[in-house]
Amino acid sequence: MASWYASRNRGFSLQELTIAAAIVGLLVAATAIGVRRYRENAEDVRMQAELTSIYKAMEAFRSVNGRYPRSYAELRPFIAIPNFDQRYEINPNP
Amino acid sequence: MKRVWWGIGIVLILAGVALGVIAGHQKPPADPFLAGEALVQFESTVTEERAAHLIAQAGATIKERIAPQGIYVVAFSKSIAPQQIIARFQQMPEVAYAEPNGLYEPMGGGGWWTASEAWAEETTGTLGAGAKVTVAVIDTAIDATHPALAGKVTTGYNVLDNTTNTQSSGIGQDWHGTASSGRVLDGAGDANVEIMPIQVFGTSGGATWSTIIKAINYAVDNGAQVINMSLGGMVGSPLVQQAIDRAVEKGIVVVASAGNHGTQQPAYPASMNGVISVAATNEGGRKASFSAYGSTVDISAPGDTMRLLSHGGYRTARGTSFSAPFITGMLAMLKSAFPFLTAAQCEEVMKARANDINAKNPDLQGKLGAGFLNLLDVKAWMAEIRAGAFTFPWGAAPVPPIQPPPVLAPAPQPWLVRGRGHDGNYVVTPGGELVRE
Repeated sequence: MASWYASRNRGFSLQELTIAAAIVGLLVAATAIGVRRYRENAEDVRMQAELTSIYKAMEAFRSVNGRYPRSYAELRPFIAIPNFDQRYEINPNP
Repeated sequence: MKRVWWGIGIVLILAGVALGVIAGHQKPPADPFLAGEALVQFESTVTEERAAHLIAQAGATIKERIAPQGIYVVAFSKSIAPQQIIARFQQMPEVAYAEPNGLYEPMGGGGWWTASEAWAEETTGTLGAGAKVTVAVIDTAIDATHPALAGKVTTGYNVLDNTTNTQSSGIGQDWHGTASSGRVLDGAGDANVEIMPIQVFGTSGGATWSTIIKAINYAVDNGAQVINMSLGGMVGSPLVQQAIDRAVEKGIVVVASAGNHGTQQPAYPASMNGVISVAATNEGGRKASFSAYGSTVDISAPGDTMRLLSHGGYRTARGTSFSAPFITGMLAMLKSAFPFLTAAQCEEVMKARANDINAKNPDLQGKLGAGFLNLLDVKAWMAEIRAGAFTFPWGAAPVPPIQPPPVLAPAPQPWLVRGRGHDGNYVVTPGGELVRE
């Protein structure tokens, strides 16, 4: 009777705790990977939209000046994307 | 009483952990560099006088100059870290390369007894009449008086004492070269092959890179057509690569052991350009547990525990040390039967004739090179050569393959704006189209 009582009230064994910790670890890792993929995807979508905006700005510059901009400085008045000069390349002679 | 049991339990656990730590503790790898020495190569415009001046300026003395490559072996106090002296050389604009005098080890060790086949009864074939092929075995000294090697060993070179004395003593690792040479003959069947022993290892320890460079140079300058190196280490050397390049330029086939570290980490010289890297399997084609594998491996051959020649007799051992010379022997057989084949063509034939072992190594798809060759293939090749029916990957006729036209890279897309994405770069074309590069 005493042993039945004891077995009902024992804590968790090391094995049980290890398995639980491993499951929690796997879940955390899977979630982290999912979040990262989602974020990267969102960044790529934004990057593609910004590329199109910069393209439009370059075409706008050309309609005014008859040529593509030779520097980021020339293009800056035509564009509202912050730090675009650090993230995108432009080619004045395509 | 309960407390006593707890105490005993804790002590047992601690003892178990301690034992585990001791058992899992690997012997630290030997220092891969020789203390007190470095290798320096100057730009080709630097005269020997200027080189001597620069070496003195760096605080070192000239120990030796290796002629074809103009490599200086320089010596300095062992109390100075080689990196310190090397850094001094590297700061000099006239220095092309400065590196430690690294060490490579033999790639084979002990094992236990199994039987293997031998070619004693095959020596009456007609292959022996083919062109003579000299195979340089860069290794320990060898037992040229061994009945299995007698008459098949030509004069070699002992790099360590600059003599032609390459007869082994049987002390320590002084059996390794005999075993490698025996494996060359296993792979060569009864082809007209002779062993040129080039000794770089003593009875213990590794061989320095400068020793190995000199050994390769000797093989190249003395008529070897195939070079076997059952040796290596985990560090690459541009200067050893230069010696290998010189061999390859002269049409010599260079073969080396992929390594016995059991991982995908590349070992050298096996992973250097122009070298055929050989992994080890058992007789059936399953990767041996110790064998290295991965993208730099070109082919596999038996190298797990087997009966090998040894100083004055036989022994069992295992290692990629004994898979590489087997392939070396098969390549030598090709060279002997078809002397017009280039080194690249020999390699092409070897790879095309390799047996697929992916099914036997399901976790290592494509990581054991083109496949596997063993004694059955040696027999098959000999039979086909004798019958005039040996097939080449480019057809039955033994003619060089027609080179396919080079594949031209697609013209770069004209672009106006470019950005970096997580899955590649994107551009917008002058027409306003968004394209992934």
